[in-house]
Amino acid sequence: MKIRCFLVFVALSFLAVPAGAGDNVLPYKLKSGKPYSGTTLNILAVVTPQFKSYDLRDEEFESLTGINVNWTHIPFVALQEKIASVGVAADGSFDVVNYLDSWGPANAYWLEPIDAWLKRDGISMDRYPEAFKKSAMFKGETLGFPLRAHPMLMFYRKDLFAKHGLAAPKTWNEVVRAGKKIKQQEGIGGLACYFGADGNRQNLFIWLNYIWATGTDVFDKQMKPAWATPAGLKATRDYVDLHTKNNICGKGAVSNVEQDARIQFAQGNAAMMPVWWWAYSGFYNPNQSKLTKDQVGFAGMPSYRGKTVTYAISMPYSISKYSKNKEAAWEFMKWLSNPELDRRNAIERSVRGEKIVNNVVTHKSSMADAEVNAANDNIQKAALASLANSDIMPQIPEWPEVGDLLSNAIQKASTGGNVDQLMKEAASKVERILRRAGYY
Amino acid sequence: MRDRHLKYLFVLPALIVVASTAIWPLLQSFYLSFREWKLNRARESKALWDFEYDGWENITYLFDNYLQAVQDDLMWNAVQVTSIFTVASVILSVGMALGLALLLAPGGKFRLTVRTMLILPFAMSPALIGVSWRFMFQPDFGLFKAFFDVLFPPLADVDWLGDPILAMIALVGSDVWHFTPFLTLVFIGGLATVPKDAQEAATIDGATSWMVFRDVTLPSILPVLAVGIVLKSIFSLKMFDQVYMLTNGGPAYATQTLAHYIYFNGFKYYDMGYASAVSYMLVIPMFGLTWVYMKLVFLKR
Repeated sequence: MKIRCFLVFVALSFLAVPAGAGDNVLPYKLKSGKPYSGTTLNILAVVTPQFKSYDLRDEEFESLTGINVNWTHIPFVALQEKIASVGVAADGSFDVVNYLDSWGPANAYWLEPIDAWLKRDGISMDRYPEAFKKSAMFKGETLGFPLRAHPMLMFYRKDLFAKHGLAAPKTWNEVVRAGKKIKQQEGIGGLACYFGADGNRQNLFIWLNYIWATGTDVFDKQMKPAWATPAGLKATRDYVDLHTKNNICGKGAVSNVEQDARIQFAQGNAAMMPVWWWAYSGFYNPNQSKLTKDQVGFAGMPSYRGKTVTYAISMPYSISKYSKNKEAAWEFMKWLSNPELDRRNAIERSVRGEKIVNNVVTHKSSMADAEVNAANDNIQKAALASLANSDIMPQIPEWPEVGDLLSNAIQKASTGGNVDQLMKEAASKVERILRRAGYY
Repeated sequence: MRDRHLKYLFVLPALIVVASTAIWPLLQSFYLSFREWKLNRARESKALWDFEYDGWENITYLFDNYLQAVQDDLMWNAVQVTSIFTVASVILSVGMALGLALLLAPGGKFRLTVRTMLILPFAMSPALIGVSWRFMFQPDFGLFKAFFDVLFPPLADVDWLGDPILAMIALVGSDVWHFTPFLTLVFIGGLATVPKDAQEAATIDGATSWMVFRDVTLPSILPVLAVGIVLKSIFSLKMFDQVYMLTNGGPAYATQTLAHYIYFNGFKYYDMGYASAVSYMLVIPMFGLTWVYMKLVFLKR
């Protein structure tokens, strides 16, 4: 008995040591002793409930570190210009900036790589799905954390599919069949399409799913346009045919951008829509949609010619090279990117009295988390599956110009233009741009 | 002597404001048009031509941005779109404004009310007009869909902004709606200066209304009409806001004006040197029109 008591005492002593030491050890690998207390950090972020929630939660970080945080939330439509002006001003007015992944390479020269900090603090980027991880990198360096990132899912009208005896589509051929049937019998669009070219290259989202499924890529190893191969052209024709030949799209397919198509689906004017997972809550929000939660279903992206490769997008956070508070900014990044915050943010529906509905998480652990999935109808599990074979847009500084040429070629094709000719013309124009930029 | 100098002192604040907000950016962008400044690679511009490295034989490097512009199909497409838009919007705005002015010039309570209301479209921001018209052309629930549903069902399902020609018609329509009232008010002012006795004399001599208009009214208001045409041409040439909000240059560049093309190259593709060069190419017709305007307004006096 004495021996047993002794052993229990020894065991408790061992446990007590780290617990006592824990008084100085802060969570999320934050530095203890508040070395940057009194520092004020300025954060530039896009307007979204996810980040509004982080803004409301940052009291925790401020009390742990003594660092003050000022958030500036900018609507997405104005974000690219704002990012460019912050980079040109080069005055460190923002310590941490949030941007779309495809703008990353163009701004990489003023974004601080975080690899050394990651290594120092033992943080691994493997906690993110591969496509998300890749979206925050440029030329082998990690520029930031992909804190808002999206896989694509196929949303569909569960009620209409049940009414017509249809199952959630697994292939694009099934999408066409279901779309035709519903359009014919319900008089609404089978698919909410968005072929509009608005400078955000949204009509490339689905196109990339088609192209990649054929094994083609946007560029070959010599950075020559690769979409004009026979397989690439066939994939593009099939994509455009959704509207021009199969006629399954809702109204305004040629001019619609993603937002128009989302509205079309939410207003009950289309039966399917392939789009980002964040759109889910909006599809049954009574302030934005005529649909109820029971009417909205989601599935993984359909396969094309037996293969599914999905397009993923992210909005990373990076530290500005011009920041005068880089170490403090890194502390903030550690707090902001901690998996527990990611998880809580998708479970809790109220933050400091404000209603927040967010289903976006970016850590693999959060996507597999039972509580997160229970709070969000298992959309994270579907997302994880969608991300199993996923990629991002090419990471080159010239992508906005190159992507716009492609985007406009596809829009013109969707008006009935010659797909092959338009895509070949786009390829030749893109070669000219890349030659001018010194790629060959 | 002191008084002579004092007046310059009063003008100085205005001069400083104009110089810093207009002259300096103009000079700076002219300088930039001969340099390479890609925001996606650096925050500072660099020379396109360096005498020490390139020598006089390669002086053409200095004009690289301009040469690139004249070789770019999309730039010529933007020139064509701007020309079509300008001609269509000037003819329609001026024509309709003249017609409305003739109808509303005589006065009366009703006409005065209409004249007052005319200021409303012009008072609206072009960006707001673009957004509103985009909503009105929305093929699912837009106003035009509802309108055509009742009056001409075959047009109800047309994707106006998805067709190159219809999108241009929509763009011109929104601009004509915006500018016609302003020009109408200008022309009403011009009509008020037409000598009534000359019109009455012509009527007594047996001239028809059309003849009175053609031979008396029109020649009298010709200077005002010319000023209206020149002003509207300048506004049309630099058209950006409504293009950005209504069609965003689409579908597939079908409504991309030069101003929109410049904006995309500068702020979306981060090529400031090139965008500056194309801006200066747009300055040429603008300068010509401004000269004509100045001649009409000031030299006539």
